[in-house]
Parts: sequence; C-alpha cells; structure tokens
Amino acid sequence: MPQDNHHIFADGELSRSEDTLRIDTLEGETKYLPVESVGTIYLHGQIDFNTRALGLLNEHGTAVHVFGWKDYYKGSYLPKRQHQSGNTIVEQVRAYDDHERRMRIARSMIEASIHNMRANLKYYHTRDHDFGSEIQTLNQQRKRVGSVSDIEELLGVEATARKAYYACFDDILRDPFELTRREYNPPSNEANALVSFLNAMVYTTCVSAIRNTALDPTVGYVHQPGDRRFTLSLDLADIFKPILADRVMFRVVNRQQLGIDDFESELEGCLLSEDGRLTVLEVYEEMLDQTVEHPRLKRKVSYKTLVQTDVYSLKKHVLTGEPYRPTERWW
Amino acid sequence: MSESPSYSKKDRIDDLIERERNPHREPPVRITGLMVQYYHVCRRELWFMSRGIDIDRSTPNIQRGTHTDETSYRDSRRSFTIDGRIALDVLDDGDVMEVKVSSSLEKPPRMQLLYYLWYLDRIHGVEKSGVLAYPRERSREQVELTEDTAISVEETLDGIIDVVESDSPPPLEKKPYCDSCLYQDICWL
Amino acid sequence: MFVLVTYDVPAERTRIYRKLLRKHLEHIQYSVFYGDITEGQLVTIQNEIHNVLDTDDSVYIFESNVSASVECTVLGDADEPGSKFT
Repeated sequence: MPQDNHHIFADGELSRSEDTLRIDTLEGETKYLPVESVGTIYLHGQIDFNTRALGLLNEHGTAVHVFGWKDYYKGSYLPKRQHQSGNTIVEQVRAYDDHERRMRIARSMIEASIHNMRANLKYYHTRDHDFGSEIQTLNQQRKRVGSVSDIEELLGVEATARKAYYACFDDILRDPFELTRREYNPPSNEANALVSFLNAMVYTTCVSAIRNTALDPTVGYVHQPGDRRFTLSLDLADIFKPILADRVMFRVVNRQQLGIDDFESELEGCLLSEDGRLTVLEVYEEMLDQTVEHPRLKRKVSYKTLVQTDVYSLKKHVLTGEPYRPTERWW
Repeated sequence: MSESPSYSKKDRIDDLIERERNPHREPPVRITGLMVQYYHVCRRELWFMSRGIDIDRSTPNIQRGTHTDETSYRDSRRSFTIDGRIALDVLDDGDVMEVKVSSSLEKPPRMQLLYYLWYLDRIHGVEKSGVLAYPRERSREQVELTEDTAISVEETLDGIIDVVESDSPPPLEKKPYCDSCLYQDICWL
Repeated sequence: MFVLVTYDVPAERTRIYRKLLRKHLEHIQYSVFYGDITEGQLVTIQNEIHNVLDTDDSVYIFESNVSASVECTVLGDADEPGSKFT
C-alpha cells in the first residue's frame, strides 16, 4: 500500500529534527511530518532545505517533487533506491531492445489508455451527452492497435484516439470552461491550464510508484528514450490520466468548485492560482484515496494502489514473461 | 532420459557438497535457510525471491515475525553467520535453535533447521542437535539429523536447484496462506 | 487504519515517546498522536513502544480498521487532523 502524499504550499524551511521532518513556515508555524508515513512530498512554495533533510528523505525512501509557478512541474529529488536489482534493469532494457517484446508492452499500454478514455466518454454518454461517434472512433482505434507494426504507427493510433477524446471535453465541461484544442507550453486557456497541472500530478504519481520498485523510470516502451522526462512515467501516466486527471477536472469544473477567477492570465498563457491549485489538489488526493474492489487481488484497493500494482505487473512481466495487465477501468 | 533421476540427484548433491567445501565456494545455487522454508511453503515464492523480485516491506506479518525473533530467548543464545548465508542461533547447551512465530505451518521451519544441521555436518563436519521453539505457545521440540531426515534435506536441495534454475516461475496456485504472503500482489496481478 | 495514541509518562521521559511517535504519526496535542496508517506500521509502533516502556509509563492505543468510520469534531482553535497540506 503506497504511503501518503504531503503538499507544502507554505514558504519556509524543511529540516530534520529528532529523526523526523520538520517544517517551519515563514509565518512562524512549526509542524512535524511523520517520515515513516509520508511517501512523497510535493513542494509548491519556496522551501529551503539542507543535506541533512535530504539524508533523512533518502533513508526513508521519500520522494520529493518540486512544482514551480510557470511550468508547474520542475523536477524531482528521488531517494536512492531501496531495492537494488541489476537483474530487473537488465530485463527491462532487454524487453525494450527486443522489437517484438517492446511492441507487445507498448500495445497493451495504448489499449489500456484508449480503453480508459472510452470509459470516461461512456460515463457521460449515458448522462445527457451524445458521444456515440467518438466512442465509435475509440473502438476503431483500439482495434487498430493489434495490427500496427511499429511505434510510429502506434503513436498515430493513439493521437487519433486522443483527439477524438479531447474533442468531447467542451461538451462535458460546464461553461465558461473550454478546451477548444489541447495546448501547452504555455497553456492557452483555463481548461488547458487545468489539464496541464493535473497531467503533471499524474506523471509524478507514476514517478513515485516506479521508484518504489527496482524498475528504472527512464526506460519506457511507448515513449522514446531521449525525451526530456522519465519515459516510463510518461507511458504509465497516459494509462492513468483519464482515470485520475480528467475525472478530477470534470468534477471541479462541473461542481463549480473552481471558477474562472481561480486562474491568472499572464502575457502569454494562463495558469492556476495558488488557491486554485489547492482546490484541485484536495480533489485529486480524494481521487487517489478512492477505493474499488480488485477482482484478482480480492480486496479493496485505492486508485493510488492501482498505479503501484500496474508497475508491479509490468515488472513481473519483464522478469517472468507472465502477462502485463495495464489498468483498464473495470468498475 | 535413460539416466535414473535418483542417480542424477545424487550427483548433484555430491557436487553441491564438494563445491561448498571448497574455500572459494561456488555452489550452483547459494541455498539459504529462508530458501529451504520457501520451498516448502510455496515454490513460486522461492522463485520470486531467488530473482530478487521486491516486495512491500510494510506488510504486517514480517514485522511481527521479526520482533518475536528478536526478543525471544535473547539472553541464552548467540547468533552466528556461516559462509555468509547460514544465519543460525546456538543455545548455551550447544543446540542449534530455530524460533518460529506459530506452529500452524510445521514443515518449513523444521526443514530449515534440518538444513542447518545437514550443512554443519556435511560441509563442516560438525554434528549438532536442533531445537525448534515456538515462543508464543511456550513449546520446544528436539530435532535430529538422521539418515531419513538427511534424505529429505537432500531432496529439498535438489528441488530448490530445479526451481531456481528454471526460466519461468512455477504456475500460480491458490494456497490458504496466500493472503498473508509478501508476494501476493506480484502473484495475482 | 485509524490510530490514536496517548501517553502519560514521567516528565523526563516524554521526549522519548514524542520522538518515537512523531516519526509515524501526527502530533495533534501535547501527548496525543493521530494517524491513518497501515497495520504493519502499527505493529512497528507497538514494537518500538515495547522497547522503551518503563515501570511508570502508560500508553493508550485506540485503533479502528476503517478510518472512515471514525468521526472527529474539532472545537476551539485547532486544525482538522490528517491534512495533507501545509
């Protein structure tokens, strides 16, 4: 079971004190974080910390993700791996290097990703929306996945599916939110700003889950290594974006937990304000904690655990050859 | 396959003993006490463990086990590690002791203890008796290496080498103790 | 699972418990700690307490398997426990 996240919005200092983490905010508040219970820390404010604090995080395998103002995700401090396993990395790379094996994993990932997009459309299709033709497109693209022979073609299939999927967002989102078209670097409007922020959260959720295993986050199967980011995290994030990010977005917008005034438009681009980020993250954290009965594990697991079990399943696949079952929404 | 299985097994065990006796030990598989236990609990678990497939360390059972092991009979025993992989406890009277949390699964800890006795005898020429202790139930049991028990140890070692050298894990099989297994998630996903 | 730990120990020993519990739980009042943790973590906490327990010490541990079934009402000047935000 993955450990809790903690988000620090305050400005101040993060330090080591009596073998645990201590936060002193500029406003004079002192708080202790139980280092044994917190798995990942997000820094959203201006935080100072020193090597003693990093050493403690390292000892406990606690990851830190740093979020900045303009492009949201800045980077991560990842602790030394607790599970060293050269064998796992060798097998992970072998699976990448063998075209057939790589394609098998990449196809399963894209199939799951399309399946999860389709699940969202089906949900709204039965609730006063008509997404019949888009669902049809996703069905076709999902079928095409089985016949593609290289990554380029696979990416083409994925792009077609995603375009049809995003085209439904304006219909789902309550006015005045409109995606129009997906744009980032910088996000061009409120809906794009929201998608960018939430996608960054899903990406970091995947980074933390990968770091709990001996898999290397830089070797992915769909995305090409050499991309700026951890390619395995990008692969997994595509599976979970519809489950985690998009559902949170629809919820905060449609329940009016978030309004246009929670965004700040700069010269170029549009960003979530600090209050807006906090609101979105509260809902995102609730989503991570939501549970569902797992048919094979025969117990209730949280969505956050699903990200972890997805990584385990991939790891098992590369090490044993038993099937990789990326998470496809079954509930 | 014209060779009789028992003959090849004997060769394999002789080879293991010979290589273990060598000062620059290079046994085909470095068999630990835990591997002997796993072999009798679940061969799939043994395969995972031998490949270093990692697990969630915060699972409650292992925590409880560690604590019982650390605090029971603390005063009357001394711990030794032999050849970097056999970690055994010797009581004041010289008996080798193995502490187990519960006696519900009897065979695995018994085989582990027998393996230690076998290892001391066959590799180092030291004859010892064993004590299997269940602190929670306040009971102890004397365990000896005999001709019969030695054969069961050797069958176990042969089986372990088979499992560990196999390219894929033994097939999934539902067991009553799957729920408390550390590899549960890896297995069923 | 839901866990609430309280202790009453001689003044010079409070530091031992505070340090031990702060690693696992949220320090909500002087000798009161709260957490939503795994069963394994609770076993670890209990083991660690056993290791430091002295004759004049007393510790209460309240636990519930379902965190969601425990209601908490906050009166006066304090935050809801269990916040994931600072």
